[in-house]
Amino acid sequence: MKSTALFINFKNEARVKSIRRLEDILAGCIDGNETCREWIYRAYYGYARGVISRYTPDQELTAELVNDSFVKVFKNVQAFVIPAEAEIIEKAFKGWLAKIASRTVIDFLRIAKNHHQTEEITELHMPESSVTVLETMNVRDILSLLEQLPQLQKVIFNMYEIEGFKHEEIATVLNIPVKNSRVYLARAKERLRLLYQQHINKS
Amino acid sequence: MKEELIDHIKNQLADFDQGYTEGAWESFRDKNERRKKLALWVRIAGAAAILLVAIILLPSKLSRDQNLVYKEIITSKKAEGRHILPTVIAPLKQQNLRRQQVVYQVGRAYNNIPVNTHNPIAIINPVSSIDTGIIAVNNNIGRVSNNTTKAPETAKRKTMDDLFASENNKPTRLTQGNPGSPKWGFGFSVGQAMDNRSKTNLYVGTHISYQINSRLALASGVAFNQLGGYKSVKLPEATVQSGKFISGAVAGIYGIEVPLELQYKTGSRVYARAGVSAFTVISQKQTLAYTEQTVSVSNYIDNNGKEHSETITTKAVSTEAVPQAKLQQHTFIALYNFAVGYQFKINNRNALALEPYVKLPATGFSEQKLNLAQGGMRIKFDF
Repeated sequence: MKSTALFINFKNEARVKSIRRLEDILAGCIDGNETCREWIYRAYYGYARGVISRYTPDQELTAELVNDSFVKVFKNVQAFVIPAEAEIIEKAFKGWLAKIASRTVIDFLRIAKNHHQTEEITELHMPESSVTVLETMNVRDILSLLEQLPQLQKVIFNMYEIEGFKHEEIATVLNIPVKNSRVYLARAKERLRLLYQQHINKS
Repeated sequence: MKEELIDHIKNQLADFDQGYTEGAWESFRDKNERRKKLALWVRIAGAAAILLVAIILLPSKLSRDQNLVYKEIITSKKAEGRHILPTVIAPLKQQNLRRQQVVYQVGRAYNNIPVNTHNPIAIINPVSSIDTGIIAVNNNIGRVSNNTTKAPETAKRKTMDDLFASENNKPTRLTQGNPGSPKWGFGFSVGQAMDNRSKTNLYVGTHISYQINSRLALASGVAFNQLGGYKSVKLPEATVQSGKFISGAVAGIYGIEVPLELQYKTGSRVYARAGVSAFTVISQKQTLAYTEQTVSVSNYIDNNGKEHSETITTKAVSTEAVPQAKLQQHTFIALYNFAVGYQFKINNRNALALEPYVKLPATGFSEQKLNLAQGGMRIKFDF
């Protein structure tokens, strides 16, 4: 009986040991281990796709950009600083991956050097309004709302509100003045509220 | 649940996961492999380009250095020659110094021309007449012998001109390997080849070659080429289930090919070539043939009341073009090239060659692993 218990313990322990931690898998990726890369790709594919689909509705393009993002991830995985706290490793990695994915899609969309730069922004202080969500919208509805925003507003909204970029960073990435970033964000929010109200009225 | 809209959007999108799409990793891995291969080819091409540039620059530098040596020799000879009165000036070609390095032998009589022994004679770089061959002899020996310093220079210039003229009169084909002559060869080629579809493919291109030595040459170029292949997939005989199966695939490809080949001349007219090509697909069409098989079992009772069971297999064959989006994944092909050639000289500079050739793909093309091998004949015009 005792030996059976020992065997079960040993077996369970072996089973637990076989599950690799994220940091080990990332270390494997640095070493070029194909299995580790496959694991990372399969585990975070949907998340990266979710990030990119916030910027573009084109599914084929999204798939391409996801792959481009993972190429960058695997190429620069050694640059990812693994946090000391084990609990936040995955969150940190997802944040890092999201930044790479969003930068990839922004680079592709070539927003930085577009005509928006020349637009004169005068309204620096827009009144902030608030709209309360009456019923929970699903992600598809939210994405369709975002889709109705002008491209630059959509990008700035995503970068600031979702990815957590600062206005200074956005201004640098998009090559626009910082005040423009703020104004476009305010416009995006206002437009989203308006679109949401229209959506509610329709339904 | 009351929540501000923007916060709600943020919360909903923060961890939005679209889920894994089946086959995404396989597609990513395949694309990565292709990228790596392409990068490898780019590196090889870069290395080849550097090698070519080095090959071009090195001989020209050597040639310049040789010219410098030659000038120095001539200058020193001139300086020394001012103090002597040579009677016979004969530029001699020394085998190991090639045509630029000319030495002068003074004080001998050739072609029964008498030597003026009363004048001082200086022997500059005396060379054995066994080792050297006389190329030109100054016949104005009597007049020259009375001059002091200018005669040797005039004579030298004349004999040098004569020497170069005689050298230039020789055939200057690149294969001669003269260090002073350009070693580059250019040409056009046009050919036709057959692939396993039994269709002819056109090959039109230009080529450039560099003669490494009298037998070996490095060749590259750019060509428009067509490739194609057919593959028949046999259905397993034991297949009795219904379904749609791929029974064949056929592909036709147009593209630009950049070869890098080594040419070895086995005789004065015959040569062999081997090398690799990078083929970039410009346009392609691929059709898949499907066999739709329906298997049904019918039971019936004959007049004698005996029960029979019959399996009826119906096969319908259809073809479908592969979508362009899927074809775009296959844009690069590596080929191995082998050829032999027979060259006819039209004149001193131009030549025509008949070249049977074979191209073998490094890997099977597309998911169906089509064999794009082709063999044909091309005509090359070198100038």
